[in-house]
Amino acid sequence: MINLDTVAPLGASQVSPLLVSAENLPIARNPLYYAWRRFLANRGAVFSGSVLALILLMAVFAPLITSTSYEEQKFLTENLAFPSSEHWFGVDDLGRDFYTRIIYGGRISLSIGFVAAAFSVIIGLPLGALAGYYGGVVDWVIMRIIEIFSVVPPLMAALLLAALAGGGFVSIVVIAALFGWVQVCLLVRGQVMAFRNKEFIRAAQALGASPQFIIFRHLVPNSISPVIVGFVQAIPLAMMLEAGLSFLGVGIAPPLPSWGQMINLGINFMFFYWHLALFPTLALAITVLSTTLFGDGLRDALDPTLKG
Amino acid sequence: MLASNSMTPALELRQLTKTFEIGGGFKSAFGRAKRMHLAVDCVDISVKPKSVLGLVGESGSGKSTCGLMAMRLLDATAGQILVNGTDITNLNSADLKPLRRKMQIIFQDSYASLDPMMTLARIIAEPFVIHDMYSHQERIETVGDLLERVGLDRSYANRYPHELSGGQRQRVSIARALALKPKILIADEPTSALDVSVKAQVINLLHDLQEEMGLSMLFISHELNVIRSLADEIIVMYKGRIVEQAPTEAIFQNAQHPYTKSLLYAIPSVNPRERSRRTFMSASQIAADIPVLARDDISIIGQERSGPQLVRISEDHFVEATVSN
Amino acid sequence: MFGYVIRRLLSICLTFFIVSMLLFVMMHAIPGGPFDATDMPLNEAAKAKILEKYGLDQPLYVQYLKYMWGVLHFDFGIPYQSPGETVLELLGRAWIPSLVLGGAGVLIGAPLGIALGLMAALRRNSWIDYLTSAIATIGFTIPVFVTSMLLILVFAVWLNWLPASGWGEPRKWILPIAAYSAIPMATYARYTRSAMLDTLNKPFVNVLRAKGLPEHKVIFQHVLRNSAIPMVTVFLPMFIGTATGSIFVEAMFRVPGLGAYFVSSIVTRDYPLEMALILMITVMFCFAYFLADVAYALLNPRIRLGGKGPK
Repeated sequence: MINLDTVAPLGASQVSPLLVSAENLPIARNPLYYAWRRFLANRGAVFSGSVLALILLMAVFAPLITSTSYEEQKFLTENLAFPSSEHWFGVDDLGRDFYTRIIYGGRISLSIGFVAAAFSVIIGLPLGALAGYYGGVVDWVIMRIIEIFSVVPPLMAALLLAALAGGGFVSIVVIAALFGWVQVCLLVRGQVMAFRNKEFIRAAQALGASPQFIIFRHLVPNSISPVIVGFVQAIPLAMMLEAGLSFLGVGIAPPLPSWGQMINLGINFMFFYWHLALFPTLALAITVLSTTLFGDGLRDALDPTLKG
Repeated sequence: MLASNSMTPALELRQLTKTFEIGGGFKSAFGRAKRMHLAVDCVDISVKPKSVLGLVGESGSGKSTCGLMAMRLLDATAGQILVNGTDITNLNSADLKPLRRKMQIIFQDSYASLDPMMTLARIIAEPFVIHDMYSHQERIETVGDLLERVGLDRSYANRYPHELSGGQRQRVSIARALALKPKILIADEPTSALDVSVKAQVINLLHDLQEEMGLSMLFISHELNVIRSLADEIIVMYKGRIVEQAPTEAIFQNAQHPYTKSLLYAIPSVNPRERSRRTFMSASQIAADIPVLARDDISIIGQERSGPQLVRISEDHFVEATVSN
Repeated sequence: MFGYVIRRLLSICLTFFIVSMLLFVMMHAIPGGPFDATDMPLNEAAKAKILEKYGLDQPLYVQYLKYMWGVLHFDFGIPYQSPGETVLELLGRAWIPSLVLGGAGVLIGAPLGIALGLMAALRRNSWIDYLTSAIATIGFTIPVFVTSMLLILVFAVWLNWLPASGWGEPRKWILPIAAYSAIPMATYARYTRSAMLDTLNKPFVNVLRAKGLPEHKVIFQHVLRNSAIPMVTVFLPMFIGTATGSIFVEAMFRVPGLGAYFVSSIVTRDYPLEMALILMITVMFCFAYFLADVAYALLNPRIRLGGKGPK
C-alpha cells in the first residue's frame, strides 16, 4: 500500500471495507422507474391520461357500446332530432344516430393520430440520431430539410397535398406524418447531441465499437424519453390536422364519420340544431386537450429539460 | 526520442501536434480565415514497459488532448503514435480494432463514464460484446471476477450507475478498462473529482493492478501529490509543450523549470511553516525565469532552434531552457 | 457575426428556392387543369388556344423559370378565377380583412397574455395563476377552429349577442378577433409566466431587493428585460402566421381574406393565385425565421463573437 502522508496527509481511514455486499441497498431500479413515479405525482397529467384511456376504450369497443351502425340512415322520420333517451346525441340530417357517429368518428381520428405519430417517429428517430451523431455536413443537410418543412405554412401545404392525393385515410396519415416527424427529429437530435460527447461514448469508441453499435446500443436507449414525448405529442397534432382537412372537405369523406367533417356539417345547421355542431366540437376539444396534457405530463416526468 | 534505454516503449508519441480551429465552423468556404489554437506542440512522450509515466499540467496545457490522441479518440494534426513499436497513427477502424484491446482509458467524470441506462454487468461486459468473446455464462463469471478485483462485491452486477458513489463508479470504469487485459492504460485525471480519502483508495487500487498486471500507464493529472505516489517518471506540460521531464524524485528534489517549481509550491501542505513559500507566477514571469544554460553543460535534443528548447541536463533529466554560448 | 448573417441569408434563400420548386411541381401534379372539359366544355382548338395563352402547354421547367422570373419582378400573373385583375391586385384586396382581424388578434392577444402571465408569476398559486394556466393551456391546445366554433355557439347562437359571420361592419369583427387572439394570448401567457418565474428565482433579484430597489422597478426594469429574449424571437413568426389569416377562422366566419381565397384557389385549380399565396407566406416565414435567428445571435454573445474554443 502506498502511503501518501509524506506529501499531503489524508483522512484517518485510508482503508475502509471495500468488499461490501450490495444486498443492503434498496432494490435496483432502472432510471425509467423514477420517471414513472414522477408522472404519478402529477395529478393533472394522471387525470388527462385516464380521460384519454377512457376515450381510447370507447373507440376500441365501439361496436359494443353502440346499437346501430354509423352509416345507416334509419331514422329519417326523426331527422335532426335533439338528444333524447333513445338517441343520446340526437339524429343528424341524414337520419343517422349521432352518438354512433361520434364514437366511430373517434375511432377514425384516434387511429389516424396514432398511426401518423408512429410514422413520425419512424422517420424522425433515425434522422435525428444521424444528425446528432455525425454532426457536420449530415446535420446541416438534415437541418435544411427541416427548414424546408418549417417555412411552408403546414396547413396550406397539407391542403395542397390532400387535394393532390384526393383525401382518404392513407393519404391523411402520410400527410400528418410528413408534418409531424420534424418535432421528433429535433427532440432526438438534441438528446443525441447532448450525449454524444459523454465519456461513456468515448469509452465505447476506445473499445473499438462501430458507430452503428454506439448509436443502437447507447444513444437510442438513452433517447427513449424524447421519443416517447415526441410520439405522444405528435398524436394530437395529427388529429388536428385530420380534423382540419376533413372540415375543409379534403379529408375523410362521408359516409365515414370524422369529427372535423361533422363540425363542417354542423355549421350549416348551427342556429337551430346546434347539437350537431356542439358534440363533435366537444369531442375533438376534449380528446386533443387530454392527449396534450398527458403528453406534457410525460415530458415533465421523463425529462423537464425537454421543455421548448 | 527521449527514452534513455533501448527497450521498445510500450506507448510512444512522436512530435505529436494538435491544432484546434476556433469560430467559423466548416463554412469557411466564404473565405474567412479561422483562428487556430495550438493545443499540443510537437510533443515527444514515451512510456516504458511496465512503468508509470505521470503527465502533469494545468487545465489547457494539452495533457488530456495528448491522452485522447494516443487512444485515437481524437485525430492528431501531425506526429505519430506508436504502440509497442507499431505505428497506429493512420490505421483505419478495421485495422485498429484488434489493437484497441491492448490499450484502454479511464476518465475523470465517473458518472458520465457509465451509460446510465445499463446495469454494471452490461457495462463491464461491453468489451466482450464488441469483440465477440466468451459465452454468456463465461461473461457473467468474468464480470463477477472483475468486480471483485476492483474491490466491489459480485452482487453489484445488477445495480445501475446512479446507485453508486463516485469512487465506486471509478472502480467500475477501471474494471471495464481491464476486461480485455490491456497492456497500456491511460488514466485521464481519474481521481480529480474524488474526495481525498477515496482518492487514496483508487490510487492504491491502480498501483496494485499495475504491479499485478504489468501495465504500462500514462497517468494524467494536475495533482502532483497524487502522481508522486504512482509515477516512476514525470513529464510536465505547459501551454502545449513539454517543459520538464525527469524521474519522480528528481522532479521533487531538483526541479529546474520555473513552472515546475510553481506547481510544487502549490501542493497543499499541512505544515504551516511551509505554506508561506507558495507563489503564483504568471505566464510572463514564467517566460522570464526560464533557466539559461551554458552550451557545454547540456546536450540539445533534436534540431537546434533559437529561443527556449528542450535540452538534456543529465542522463534522464530534460528541461526547456535557453541556450547561451 | 457578419459571416453568420450572410450564411443564414444564403441558406434561407436556398430553402426558399427548393420550396418554390417543390410547390410548383406539386401544384401542377394535381390532376386536372383549370380548363377541364367537365367544368368548361370546349372544343379542342379553343382549349389549345387557351392553354397556349396561359402558357400551360409548355414543359414544366420552362413554366417554372418563367414564373420565378416574373416573381422577382413582383409579377404573379393573373388569377384564373377573376381575369379582370392581376394576382397582386386581388391579393391586395384580400389581404386587408386578414391583416385587420389577424393583426388585431395578435396585438390584443399578446399584451393580454403578457399581462396575465405577469400576474400569474407574481401571485403564484392564486386563482389568477390557475386561471392563466387554464386559459393558456386551452387556448394553446384546442385547435383554432374549435375555439371559433365554441365562440360562435356561445355568443352567436345561444346568447345571440354577436353576429356569426360576414365582414362588413365592425360588430362582425369581434368574434373572429377573439378567435384569432386565443393563440397569441395563450402563447405569451405561458412564455411570460415561465420566463418570469425562472428569472425571479435567480439570486440577482434578491440582491436587487436587498439593495432597496422598489419592487416595481425590480420587476419592470430588470426581471422583464431578462425574460424578454424568447418572447421577442417568437413574436415575428407568430404575427405573420396570424396576420396572414387563418384558413379555418375565415371559413367559419365567412371572411373574404387570404385563407378563404387559398381554399377556393385549390378547388378551382387557380395556379397563379395558389402559387402566389403560398410563396408569399413562405417568404414571410423565411424572413421571419431569418430575423429571429439574427436577433438571437445578436443577443447571444457566443454566436456574436464567434464559436467555441478547444476542449
